[in-house]
Amino acid sequence: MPHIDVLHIFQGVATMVAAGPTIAIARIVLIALGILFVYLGAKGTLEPLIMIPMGFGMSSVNAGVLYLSATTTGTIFLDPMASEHGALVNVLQIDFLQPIYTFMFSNGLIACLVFMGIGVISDIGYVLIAPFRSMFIAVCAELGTVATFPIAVAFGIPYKQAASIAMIGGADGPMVLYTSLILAKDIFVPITIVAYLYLSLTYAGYPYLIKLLIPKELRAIKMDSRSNPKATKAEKMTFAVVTSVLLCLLFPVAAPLFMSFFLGIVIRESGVTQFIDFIGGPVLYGSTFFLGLLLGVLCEAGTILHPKVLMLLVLGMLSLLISGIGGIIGGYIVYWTSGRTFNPVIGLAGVSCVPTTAKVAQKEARDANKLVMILPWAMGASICGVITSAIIAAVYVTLLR
Amino acid sequence: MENVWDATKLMLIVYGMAAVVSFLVAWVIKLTFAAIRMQGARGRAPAEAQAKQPAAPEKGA
Repeated sequence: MPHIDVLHIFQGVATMVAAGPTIAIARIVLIALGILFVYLGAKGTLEPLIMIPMGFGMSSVNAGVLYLSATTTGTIFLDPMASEHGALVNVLQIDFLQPIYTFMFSNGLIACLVFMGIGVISDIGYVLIAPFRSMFIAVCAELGTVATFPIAVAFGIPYKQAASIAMIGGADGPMVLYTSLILAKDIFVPITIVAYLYLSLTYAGYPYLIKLLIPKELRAIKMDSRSNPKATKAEKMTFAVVTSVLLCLLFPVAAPLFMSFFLGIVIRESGVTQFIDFIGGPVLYGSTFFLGLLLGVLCEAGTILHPKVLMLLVLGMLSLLISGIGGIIGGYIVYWTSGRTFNPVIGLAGVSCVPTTAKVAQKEARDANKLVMILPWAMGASICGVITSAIIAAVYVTLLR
Repeated sequence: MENVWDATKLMLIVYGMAAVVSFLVAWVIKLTFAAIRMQGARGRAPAEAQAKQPAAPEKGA
């Protein structure tokens, strides 16, 4: 009878024992963190659409490490480092998530599909209520996206990575993924994970920022909706086509993002229900699910244990905080220039986490005054925020690539 | 090469460019809106005039 090493049968445990204390502790912490994400996602504290698959992937991948050969360890989920043709073809036939990673994730397709879905669920008509005001607020709410850049450089981070980290302030997950895939491929995993983690926390954190910076009597200002223009489908479609062509012309490097978003809007306005249902349903939610799952699976201890992770956590938080403050400053400027008739809470919605920040703004305004309805303006600012984030991503990528 | 002062200058350039392009998009929205409204109004004017024309002789009769 051959000698049986019990530890070698249970390779998840064997690799943990063999890896040394740092990796072993990191794996245990990540397994626990993954379970916590699933719990908090299911409870609704964190965004469930992204956190449940991400947490599940994170805990499973860190448990499922095995011996790939006598000396090397790894998983059979996916290998983000495989790039050589022969090795990649081998991995594609073995690692079950590798095809999705190679053909959808690393080329930015999944980010574009999510962006297309966001286009389908965004009513551009809200932007047409007050385009200059909404765009001004959105520009102010990008303060964190630009201000974090020199701060990150001051921490010793190279330009490309600093720009990718700063993009977290745009509060737009697909945009952070797209930018970091192009500018900072070696640390795109921790950047994107930090981004999605914080984005799911905006719902919990931003209400405190509003209460801290805007007094109750200003939060209670009612908006006059009588003069709101009604846009026809033809107008919305014309705007989407013209703007998409213009932005693609200015920033070809981000053309896939612009095209995806505005195509989503055109599909929504075209009224072709088959496309609307398909892209707003299976495409958007399927992409979000696999995005979360892949991000979780990429959190393998060996990949995520990067010396810059702690810095990313601090800078990501700072970026979102500055953007929130910038948005509120924008809201105050419009409040003063409009003869004190504009609710400054709308400023926060300029942070482009559609539709979360708009919902947060509406909820906080309604808590101050039950008769207040600011959602149309907040959605306008939020959608402008998506456009502005895409423009800033395009400028960063164009200048730094 | 990569110092904070250069990064600050780059930040201002990025912010400035993004603001200009964002307002350009807002201007496109306004322009599109105005153009379509004007075309709609121009299309409606002859139709309204045509609708009014046969009513006049009837009144005279």
